[in-house]
Amino acid sequence: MVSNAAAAGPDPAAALRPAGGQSPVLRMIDIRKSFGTVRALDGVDFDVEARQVHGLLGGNGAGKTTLMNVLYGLYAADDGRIEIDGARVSIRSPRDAIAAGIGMVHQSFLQVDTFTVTENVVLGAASGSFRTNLAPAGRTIAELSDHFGLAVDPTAVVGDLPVGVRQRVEILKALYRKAKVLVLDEPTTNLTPQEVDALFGSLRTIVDEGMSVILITHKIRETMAACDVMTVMRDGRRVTTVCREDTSPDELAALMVGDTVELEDDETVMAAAMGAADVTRTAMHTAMHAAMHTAPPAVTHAVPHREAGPAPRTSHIRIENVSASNDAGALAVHDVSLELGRGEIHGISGVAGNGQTELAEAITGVRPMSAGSMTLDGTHLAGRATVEWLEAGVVYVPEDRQRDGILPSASIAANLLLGGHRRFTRFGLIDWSRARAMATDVISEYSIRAPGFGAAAGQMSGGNIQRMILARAFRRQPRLLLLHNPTRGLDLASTQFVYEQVRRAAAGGCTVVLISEDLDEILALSQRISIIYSGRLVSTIDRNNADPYQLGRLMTGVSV
Amino acid sequence: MTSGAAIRYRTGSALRALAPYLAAIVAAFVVAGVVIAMLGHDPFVAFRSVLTTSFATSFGLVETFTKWVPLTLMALAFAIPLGAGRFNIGGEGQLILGATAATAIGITLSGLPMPLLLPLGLIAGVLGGGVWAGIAAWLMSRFHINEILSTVLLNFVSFQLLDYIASQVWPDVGAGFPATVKVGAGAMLPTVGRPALHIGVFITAAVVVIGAILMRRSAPGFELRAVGINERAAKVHGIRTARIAVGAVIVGGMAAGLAGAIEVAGVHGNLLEGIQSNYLLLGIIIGLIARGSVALVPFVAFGISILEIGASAMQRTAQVPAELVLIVEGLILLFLLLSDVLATRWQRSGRKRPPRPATARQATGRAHAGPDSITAMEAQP
Repeated sequence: MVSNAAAAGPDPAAALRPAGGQSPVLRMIDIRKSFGTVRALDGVDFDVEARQVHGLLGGNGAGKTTLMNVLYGLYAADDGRIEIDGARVSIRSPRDAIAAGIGMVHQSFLQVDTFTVTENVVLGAASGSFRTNLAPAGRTIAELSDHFGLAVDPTAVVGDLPVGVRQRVEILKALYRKAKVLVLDEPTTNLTPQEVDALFGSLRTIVDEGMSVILITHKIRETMAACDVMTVMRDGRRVTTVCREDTSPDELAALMVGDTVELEDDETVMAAAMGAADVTRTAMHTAMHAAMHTAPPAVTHAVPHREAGPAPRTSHIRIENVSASNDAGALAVHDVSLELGRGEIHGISGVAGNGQTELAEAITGVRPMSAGSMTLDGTHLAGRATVEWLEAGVVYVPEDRQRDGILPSASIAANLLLGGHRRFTRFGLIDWSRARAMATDVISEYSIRAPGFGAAAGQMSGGNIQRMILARAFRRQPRLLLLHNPTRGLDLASTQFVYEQVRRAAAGGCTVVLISEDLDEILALSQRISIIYSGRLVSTIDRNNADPYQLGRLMTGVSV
Repeated sequence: MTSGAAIRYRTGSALRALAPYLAAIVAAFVVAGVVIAMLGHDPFVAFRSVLTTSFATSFGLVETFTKWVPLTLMALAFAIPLGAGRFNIGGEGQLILGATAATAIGITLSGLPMPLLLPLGLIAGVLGGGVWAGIAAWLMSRFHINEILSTVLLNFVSFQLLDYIASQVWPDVGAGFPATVKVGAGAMLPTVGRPALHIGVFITAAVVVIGAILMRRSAPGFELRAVGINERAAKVHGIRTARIAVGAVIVGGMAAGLAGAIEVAGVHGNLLEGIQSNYLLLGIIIGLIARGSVALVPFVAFGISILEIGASAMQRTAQVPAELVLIVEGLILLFLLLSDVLATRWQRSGRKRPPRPATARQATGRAHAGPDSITAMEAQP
């Protein structure tokens, strides 16, 4: 499915686009890495020059973080080599990477909360002596902080500092260790716009001093603001490397999304509409459109407009002004409103970490809403216990199956009961013989490969676990089914199976909300598509007017 | 899948489940035997008295069953909260509160007839233990105070309370140590046979059977184990996890409270200092050896009870200090945990699979309640 998408096309491997004749500080050559059967990196060449902020762009699973983890010694590459200042280096662990002059700032910081900034920075970098005099180190750190505009007090206790400052502590760590190449992994995720500006200012100072910075991101707007050069990755390959002056946000969006969409979905929409028990006029309308709309979408460039397509006539679910916080207490979902019709499959597309999980949990009763309301056929659900949402017919298939979806050491039968176990009681006791019979049926009906209903759920493969979770969800005959990345990590057969089940459920009148980072999936299943960016639904588009490039731009915050 | 395959699957897992127990017991006795030999005693003489005293005389058998009662109930007090991933280390305090409540009823209402007074005393004991555990449970759910700390610390409070009641409120001045006067005759458990066996044994047996059925088959029992295995998933699927955790800790306290009440009504006839013996420690050992399974607890408790009764006989016959038996009990547990570690390692080297995400709490919970709960989640016929 990888093909040269837009104007740029894949470069010849060795080509070095950016001007400036000097040899690069860092060269990664023909890096390959597979996880099982998945090729995460498929022969990637990546060069970084001195005095550059180099953006590493790509969607989820493009391989950008994997590439950097190889560089930092967290993964061993299957093949390829790394050169620093023209000399080949062997990086087997983060210790080797640090010694080679590479510093990395992860999304989650490894810091000792009760230590001061100085102690944290020195930790692991201290010389061999038993006693360490921290005073000179503290002065060095203060100087570094001043010089690079990081505004960190070396004597502050790290646990008391806000996220933005803690991130700068990580940068100080790298600077203190005299890193030549500083890697930042999605550094702006938890920052305010002001902190982002300050961070980018510091990065500029850092490269002006002769260092290089690699910025891993999926936000095009940020790369345009902060980077001199961008490398776009997709499906484990480097698509291209471009200078900022030579590109545009739209081009980058096109490069990131690629030539994705293979349209088997006209039929899909058609089938969903035709098979529906109560064919709404909207669905018919959609189907008609789909049937006529046979030209490839990249050509049509239909202008997407907000709330395109008539709103569903029988409003089944009404989500109004919902806001919710993440686990850290910061607002992650802002003022989301949606109206969903019976039998509608509504896609919510976005780049990971834009509030999808929080939104999913808020509208399935797992996470409390901080504001807003939700009604299902007129029944108010906001503020009620999760079990009451379940009883009302809201079923949630979470993204993190192992963490949120299963009881790993319990049997398949027990897992299939979870949530609906109170319906399986007789004289107050769970009727295990009925449960086991049900489990046996489910195992054959959903082709779950397992030794039997007594096998531990956690021992099965990811695909089979997901089949089990979906079986549990569909058996509950949901009125609202929320799926979050339902086919991630599944093989083709399992994916097709999931799609069939989703369509069948929708045809039976179930409303489906499909949150996915896979644009193909969204386009294949949905009738309408909403785009989530920074916790807001920035646009809702009728499937037939959807243009993947426009979606890509919306997802990366280029045009709002 | 054919039913034949199902049966084979079960027998295989039963054998595999039993093997580490046998290995751990043998290994513990071998190590203890070496120690006894090094101390200059004959390990075979020592072990013979440890293992046979319970069965040599009918007196020994009654003693063993009498000891089995508090051991079983204290093991339940630990194992039931453990099922929900919570650690109740406050069994001592809950036992003392149960004993105190039963004694208070037995003394203040001593004139009542037995059919009224005895149940009242036992119920008071259950409630006393439940309330004491309830304090820790409330702190846990309301303020997120770690239940390990709060239950342990409440033990110390209970010692002071016992001391106050036994030396100030209803003191038996002739006892020579803190002890209350005796409860009324109607508060004592009837006995059967000769030597006398108090019927607390049957009450405990009934509690275990009902407890095991509820844990395996009731909806709250299912929810409790779901919380213990994966609290996040349980919450996502509509289980009120906080409520379940609180309930588990309180029910555990009730079991300990019943142990206290039966110690008063069946053994001592009053509240006295040291009534808690070392039952807390033994209860934890039993609960862990049973891997948190309520159905296994009575059997493990009986084995430990045999060792405990044999300990003093061993001191008489082989001059080996009775404390050595505690070492044996500890070693059994250690070897059993070791076998878990080895089993996991073998499994991992045999088949690579991605590590499961788990919080520290879940990981610890699983380390104890893990392998067995695979099958325990389902009622096996």
